[in-house]
Amino acid sequence: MTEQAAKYRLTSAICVLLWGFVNSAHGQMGVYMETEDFLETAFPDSEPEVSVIWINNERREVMEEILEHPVNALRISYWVSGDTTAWILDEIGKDKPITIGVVVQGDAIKMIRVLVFREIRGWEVRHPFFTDQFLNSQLTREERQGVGLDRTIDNITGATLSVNALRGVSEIVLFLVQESKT
Amino acid sequence: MVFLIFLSITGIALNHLNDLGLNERYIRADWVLDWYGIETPLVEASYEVGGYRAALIGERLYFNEMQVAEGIEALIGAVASSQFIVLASNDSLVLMTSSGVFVERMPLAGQLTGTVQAIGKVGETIVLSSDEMIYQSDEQLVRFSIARDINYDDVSWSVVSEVPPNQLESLYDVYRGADITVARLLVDLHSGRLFTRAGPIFIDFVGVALITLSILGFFLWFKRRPRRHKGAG
Repeated sequence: MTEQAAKYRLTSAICVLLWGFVNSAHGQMGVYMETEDFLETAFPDSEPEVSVIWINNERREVMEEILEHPVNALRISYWVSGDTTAWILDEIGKDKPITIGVVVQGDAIKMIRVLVFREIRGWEVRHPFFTDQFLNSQLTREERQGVGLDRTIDNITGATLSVNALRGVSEIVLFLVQESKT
Repeated sequence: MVFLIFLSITGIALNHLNDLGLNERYIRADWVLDWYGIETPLVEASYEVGGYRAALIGERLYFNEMQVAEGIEALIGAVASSQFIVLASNDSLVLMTSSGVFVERMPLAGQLTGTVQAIGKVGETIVLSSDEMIYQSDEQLVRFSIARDINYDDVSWSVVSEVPPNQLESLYDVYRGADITVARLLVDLHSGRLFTRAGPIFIDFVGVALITLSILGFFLWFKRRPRRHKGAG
């Protein structure tokens, strides 16, 4: 191999590596689960009905306390069958909304999935090693700390804002499930 | 000297991003946005409804100049009923009150097969067309069911209307002004990332030079420092 050919190969290899590195971040953005597939997984044996919950001032206050930013929706639609409900909510991670699906059976989370991820960083939250932490979690209400999950969710270094988005949405959903029963 | 002051000021500002609300303040200056290469996609679809303008630009849905949803693939139409103003995307509805307040983005999964192809009205009933079927909403606009008694021609379907030039300019301004926060600009100025790829390298170089100067300065002072002479007697 001539010296020139060796240089050419080395340059090509570096370009390929750089291209792969650049694409690895953008490659994590996208649709991970279609809404229809999410609903089929949530309700494998039944046809859910659509229902809505109106967000009055008291509910809004609690939701804003959980998410730490204003909530502008007046109502939220969800799917229900028996004691199982499925919710799809958007929450901003850093800059872009993450679409998160949560299924609640009774008062506990049965499934949580990242359906669409639009951020450049923090995509690790879609993996089961993270989302499994939410399974069977319930809501606690303490006078000092307000509404929260009954367990600690471990953070992921470099994905703190995405972790916060999932934690916030799971708390909102559990809160709304309780409210929908009152 | 000027450079050090610049680094110090941006550094102090970065330490107080939240206190100063710099994460929520957006840059509108055209030359800064041009520098970042922020481009504005063309309006993909636009409808006039209930005295408002609904427009889709680059997956962002605008209601007049307010962004009401993101991640919208296609804007299919918009209609106004006595209860809501309804903007239809291919897979969801965005509901607004007649006074322009956001109600919700309502997913249509499980309610109809296929994607929405048209939205219209028969009297006060909101109607959707999907996969050659027509669906009608209930009174509260919560559920849709197949409308067997409604013919396609009976429906007043929503039709596209072009954005007037003055409104278009405002919309593009709003679109462009929603990407770069003051915080982002400060971070990029402080790190040098704003000044092409050489910027961070230059900042690194300045950092190393400052460290070297400080160490050299200390040694020079140490070598030349006045020494106490012990008294001769």
